[in-house]
Amino acid sequence: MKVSKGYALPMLLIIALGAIGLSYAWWTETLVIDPTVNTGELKVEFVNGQAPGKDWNTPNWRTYGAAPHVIRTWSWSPDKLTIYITLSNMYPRTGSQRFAFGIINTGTIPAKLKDVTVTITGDPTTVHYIRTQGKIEYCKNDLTKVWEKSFGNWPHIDGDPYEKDIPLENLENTLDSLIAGTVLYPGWMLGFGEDEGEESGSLGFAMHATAPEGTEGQTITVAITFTFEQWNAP
Amino acid sequence: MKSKVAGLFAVVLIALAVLGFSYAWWTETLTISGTITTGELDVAFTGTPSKSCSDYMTCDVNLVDGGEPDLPGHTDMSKMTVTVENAYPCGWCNITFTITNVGSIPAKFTGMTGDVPSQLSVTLEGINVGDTIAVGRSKTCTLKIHVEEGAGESTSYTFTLTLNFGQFNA
Repeated sequence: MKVSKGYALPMLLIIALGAIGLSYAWWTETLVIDPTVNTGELKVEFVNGQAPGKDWNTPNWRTYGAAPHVIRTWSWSPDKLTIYITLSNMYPRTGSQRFAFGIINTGTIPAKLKDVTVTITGDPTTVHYIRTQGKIEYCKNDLTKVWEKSFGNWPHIDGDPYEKDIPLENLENTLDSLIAGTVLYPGWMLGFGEDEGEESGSLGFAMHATAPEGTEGQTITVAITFTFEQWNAP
Repeated sequence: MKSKVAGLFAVVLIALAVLGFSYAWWTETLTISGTITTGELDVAFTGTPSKSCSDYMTCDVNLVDGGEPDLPGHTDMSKMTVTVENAYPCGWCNITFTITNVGSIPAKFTGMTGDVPSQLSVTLEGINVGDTIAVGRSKTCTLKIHVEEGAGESTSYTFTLTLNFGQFNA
């Protein structure tokens, strides 16, 4: 059957409208869910006066034993995750140059210490004769001590043998083995130091009594970086 | 002339007689009066949602009237607001809630649509496309929000999910 153009157009229009009408005829209903997800913050810093009652709130040097003339400085990176320590004019049988500081979780989720990196700049022989010792405290946010760990000849008593102390080049492995994997919950701290009079301060540096003459006039720089990650990272 | 007048009169009489015969037929009617009331396709969140989150994360859930037309005397909760705080990668929140058919015809679930950010993944369990909720019956569903790697710190992600329903026989 032949359909003229005059009839075809209205017929198509009617069919299309019918189809649309059929689609619109079905009823629909919706439920709406509006979620908002606010993420937290992973943040760990060297303590800077945030915990009253502990001397190591503000990083600083302490000296235990005789160590006149030793020149020491410190600074930290802008992100406060690396501390730079400089020792110069050291000499054999120096007393322990103790640097006291703490690390606090100022974020909103727990942080796990992934590793400690110690980068040393200076004459390797001199580095070998620089020995370290120290004590680390793990504290809750109310400063309750959970545990403490010491390394090297702690406390380094003037005149004690230096053999138990850790050569500076082994400091990284020592710290890693002691505290890597530690989880800092929000407000919790790792304290390198304790307010115990002359024994306070816990990351100590001393020069071995047998340091050869070749170690004269050397300056050693130590950069210690603490890398944290989410506590539940695989 | 007289005969013509008489003829006309006779024709009029015959015509009137015929008309009178027609009017004499009786008539009667039957009437059907109909009323059709349509049903309502209506689903709503009911009950109190429960939630659970991974450590250190929190979640707040509220049901509100989303403004959908309701049956007289009813206020249906058609909108759920969810606020998750302190989220972190690999963290999660599960919200379990109930959907009830408060209408008068069965409702068929036709799917969930939404603009979920790539830093999150969202799944809905307990109901599948094609599932029908009978009138007055409910389905318990769980919305699972998972934070993916790459989510930013101290960031807010907001999105909307729509649960779509249609007639059971569509």
